[in-house]
Amino acid sequence: MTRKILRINMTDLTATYEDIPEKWAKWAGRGLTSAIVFDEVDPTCHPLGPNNKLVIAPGWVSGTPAAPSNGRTSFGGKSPLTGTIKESNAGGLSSQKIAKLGIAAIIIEGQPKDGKWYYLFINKDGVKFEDASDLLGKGMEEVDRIMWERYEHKPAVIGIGPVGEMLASNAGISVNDPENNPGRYAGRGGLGAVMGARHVKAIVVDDKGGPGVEIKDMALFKKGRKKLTNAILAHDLTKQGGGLNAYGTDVLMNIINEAGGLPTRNFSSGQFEGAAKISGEMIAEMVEKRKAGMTGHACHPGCVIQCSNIYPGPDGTIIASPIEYETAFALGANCGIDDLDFVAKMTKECNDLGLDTIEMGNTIAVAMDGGLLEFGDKEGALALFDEIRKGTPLGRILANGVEATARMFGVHRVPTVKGQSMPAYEPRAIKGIGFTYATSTMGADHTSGYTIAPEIAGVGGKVDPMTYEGKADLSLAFQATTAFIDSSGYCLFIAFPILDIAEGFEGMVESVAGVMGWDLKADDVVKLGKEILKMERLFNERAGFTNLDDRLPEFMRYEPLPPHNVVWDVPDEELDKVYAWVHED
Amino acid sequence: MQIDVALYGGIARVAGGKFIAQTRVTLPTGAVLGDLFKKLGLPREEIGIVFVNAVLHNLPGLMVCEEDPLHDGDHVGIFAIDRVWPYQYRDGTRMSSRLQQTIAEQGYLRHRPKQT
Repeated sequence: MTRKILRINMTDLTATYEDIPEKWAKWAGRGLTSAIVFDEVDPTCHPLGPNNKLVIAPGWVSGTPAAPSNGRTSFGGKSPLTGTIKESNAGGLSSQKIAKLGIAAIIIEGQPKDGKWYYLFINKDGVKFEDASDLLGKGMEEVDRIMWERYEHKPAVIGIGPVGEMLASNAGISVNDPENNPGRYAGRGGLGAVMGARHVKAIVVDDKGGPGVEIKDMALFKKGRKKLTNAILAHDLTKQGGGLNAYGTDVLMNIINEAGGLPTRNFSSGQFEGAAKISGEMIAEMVEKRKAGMTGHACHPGCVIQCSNIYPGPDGTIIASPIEYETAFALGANCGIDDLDFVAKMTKECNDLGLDTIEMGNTIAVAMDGGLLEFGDKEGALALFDEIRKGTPLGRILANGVEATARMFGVHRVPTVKGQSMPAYEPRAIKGIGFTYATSTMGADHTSGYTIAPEIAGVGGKVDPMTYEGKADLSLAFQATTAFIDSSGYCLFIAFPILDIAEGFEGMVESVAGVMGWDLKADDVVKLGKEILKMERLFNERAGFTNLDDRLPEFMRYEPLPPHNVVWDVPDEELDKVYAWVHED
Repeated sequence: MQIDVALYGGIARVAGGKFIAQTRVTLPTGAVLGDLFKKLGLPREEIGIVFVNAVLHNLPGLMVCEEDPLHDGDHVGIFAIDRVWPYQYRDGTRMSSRLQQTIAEQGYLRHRPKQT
């Protein structure tokens, strides 16, 4: 059974199933969202206007039987935060359910003529446009609860909180997890505002009775699936009881802090004296001490890594799920806050209101730098979410992210690239990540350049730490292979075992090849990835971006970062090498 | 001299912790990291990432830091060997010259859990 494109027109309130055109047929996940946005969205359009589109796509292996950790959904469009093309992906229930309905991508376009708000119900019988007026103003916790009461079969709920209704640039898109918490987010880039501009409050997906996912070569798929699963379960980081399973992504907090690379107090230092108190080890300790919550939580069915957590308060009631490293850095260290309970409370607010936690934490930090609050004022930081919830002028400023807030408060220390604020690795101290932040098509993004299959880039296991020689080629190769994994439907964290265990990489390739009926080799991974990057880069160029936008913020070039007292001094020419190939073909 | 030590992971047990432990160790002037490991009773095969004053001195599987000198007031962070630090999040980190040389010769893109 061939996958279909589901085109939903919010102007006409129509839903049509189209055959997937040949030019898109090989794509899924990020490859497909970027291909559709590249083809159908004018790069110069206003992201909140009628000509932008929201594209939602599961990956190649999403929804296939027992493929490990296959539950990622890609969301794409032109970003209101950056003005670039954006792909943001989330775990949760949506990917597998959309895929099992035989849908390759959902394209949401247009805007209702009557100005009303809708939610969409999608199942095997088609699409219903439902009145969302009773949902407006509600947070995602309540929306998720309502939808599971309203519909059978525990559907996926994709939704936007009040921040998305406000069309604010830091609006994320929530996906519910197996416990129906709204904690899985396509957070970065403000795509929640794109969904809001289409006047879609939520999308409910019920896959019961759906056709399932076609697998062209079952034997090859099964062979690959087994190899990949074995690799995931063998690796120190991804195995049961391993770093991610036991402590979550926040296992990185203490490492990055000891290294002097933890952005602290609005990127003014690389170490935070309270880091251990907001680390993954502290989450594990609290879960044990309070006899509630859990680590080793799966964000989607079939995940074997299970790196998520459910964080309990002092009385054992659950505050939020999950607390990720990125969240703990942004709402914790970067704000000078060392209280994990407050980090959890602010996480809960972000999840309910529909905010990306990285951008929100960095926004509070910038506001602190601008004098709104003292660094470390945890009660004051938490109270800011009330401003957002009420839609006050201050709340609306904060909901629009770091650059908007910095402008309002006269702050020059603005840690953004292409309008998106930096994640939890200080590029002055960890220069390699600076290459990725600067050159990624997505803005400052820590997930764009994972270390995958260095042999493909011709470097084997060796990279000289003392020179920039070859760094640009390596960055490109890693960005390309990451784009491939972002298209697969697999969680990006499979990158850790498939780097260190060759059979795991083979398994990943074979499982994708099995689903699609391809003869796929390792080199094809980079080729396909580069095709995706090229579309994204060209879109950005047509949107007005040049190599001058592939730069880190000015303050990082002259402000030394303690404890190493280093500045960003990578020559611009090195950064320009990463995408120099785009016009060579 | 006084050395301030933080231990992360299973090795925290040597200083009474389960997930993390902080302790202070007295060593004679001129002591090196290997002396610290012995004083703490840390099994060599359990030691992974090691920092001294935010400078990386060791990665899992290498154990190249035992002769590195310590000074009064140093802070040492030691992680259990199963702690993985992915390459894309450590590329360009400041490291000791001995570790830098080792990596330039042997490479270290991949996590190597066994001590060589």
